[in-house]
Amino acid sequence: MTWFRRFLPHGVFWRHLLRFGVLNTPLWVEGPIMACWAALFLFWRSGRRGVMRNLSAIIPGSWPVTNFFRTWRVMYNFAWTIADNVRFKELRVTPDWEFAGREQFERLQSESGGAIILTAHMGSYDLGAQLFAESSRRQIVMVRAPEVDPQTRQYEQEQQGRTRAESLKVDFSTRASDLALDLLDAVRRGELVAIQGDRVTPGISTVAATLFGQPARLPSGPFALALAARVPIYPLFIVRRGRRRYRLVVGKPIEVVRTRDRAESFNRAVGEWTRELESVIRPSWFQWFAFEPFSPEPAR
Amino acid sequence: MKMVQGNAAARWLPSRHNFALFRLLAYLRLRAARPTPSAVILGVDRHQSNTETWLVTAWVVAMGTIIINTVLAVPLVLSFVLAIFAFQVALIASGLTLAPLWNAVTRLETPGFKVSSFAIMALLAAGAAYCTTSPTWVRFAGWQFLAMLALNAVAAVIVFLLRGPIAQLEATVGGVPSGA
Repeated sequence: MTWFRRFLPHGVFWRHLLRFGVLNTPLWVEGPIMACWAALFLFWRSGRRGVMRNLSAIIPGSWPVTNFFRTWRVMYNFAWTIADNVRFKELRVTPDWEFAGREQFERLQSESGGAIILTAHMGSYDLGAQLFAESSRRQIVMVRAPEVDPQTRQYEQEQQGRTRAESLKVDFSTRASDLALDLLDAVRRGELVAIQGDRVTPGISTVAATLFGQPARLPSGPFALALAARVPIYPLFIVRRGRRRYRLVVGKPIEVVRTRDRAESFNRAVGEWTRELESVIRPSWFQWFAFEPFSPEPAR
Repeated sequence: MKMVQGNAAARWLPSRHNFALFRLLAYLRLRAARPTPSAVILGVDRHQSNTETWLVTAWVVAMGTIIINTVLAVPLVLSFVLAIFAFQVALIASGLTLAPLWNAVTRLETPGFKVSSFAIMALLAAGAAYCTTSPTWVRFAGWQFLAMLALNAVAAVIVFLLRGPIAQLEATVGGVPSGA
């Protein structure tokens, strides 16, 4: 009997509840209701501990008790973000957008060939990808980790099939070898490939990095793809600035230069990426929805 | 959904506001606004205004707290917690029963949040009317709530009468006609 699985943190019950809430909550009581439900998710032990451990590395010297309350803020922001995402899918209501690094964003859109968008699990990357796909004629392929729970995965696939923009294709990071070839083809066709570069899922190849002074493993796929296809990597982040307000932050492109020393090229590119990642996450730690510790070692 | 690109003044579009009072204030503000080039894309939806939404949130939560404090005679802090809980019970009840029933009877396909919004506001108005009968300070809170609803109704009439000029002004900024 696995009926209770739907009520676990990754279970499908919460997706249905969220959809019900978005469709039925008066907009002027959304804030307090979000705050309550975010507090409920503090009972999700592994998620809470993961966030608290990450916070202890992002904010060195921070107290566990303070990080407990900071974790609530992370959950609160996450609740708003996923609610905005559902609202977009169900009602086609989009938030307001502002840009940081507009010139890089325009450069990305005007790239003659393909490019890789490297992003992090913050803000609503789904919403950002949809905005990008609808405001650009370029085909965009978004690679994401599949949902852990089979029912939730099925639910999400049904939702995406129903609402996705035509120019947006979603692929999953589980079928690593097939996907790598597909993505290489896509980039060579001039498409944009969006990949999350801040966490690894089982079965994908990784590269060693240092994040917030801690050893970490990051996906090596985006860097290998950039090297093979000779395309730039654009760091792109979606930061929630308030109710229905998001900021699109686009960094300078990272070039993975071909040299005799492949490891050295990789390390330089990974170093640039982690610096960019840190510069965005440090002031916006409450936006980083990494519910698992990014480092195997506790923060010093 | 319509979006306006590159003009920060579009945040004052009346059609980005929900209540008539805020639509009217936004119209007056937009009349005085100059085009402000900015790297923004603004959505045009009647619930898009942050200022309006948070002000109304604070207002209804405060009124809900006062009503529960009056009816149940419990401390204000507990009344606040119960008010938040009551909003959730009300919206779940509305979403499961009232909204489907309303749509089945009227065949209008009204969004659930509009039905629950109307139902909860009606409950708050009834609670505020009850508060006006109290001999303590809460009667002022009750009268204030009802007065704001009346003021909003007056603003709705003014917005209706001004719908032509509002639509014209919105069109120059790139919005949609107010009420669309």
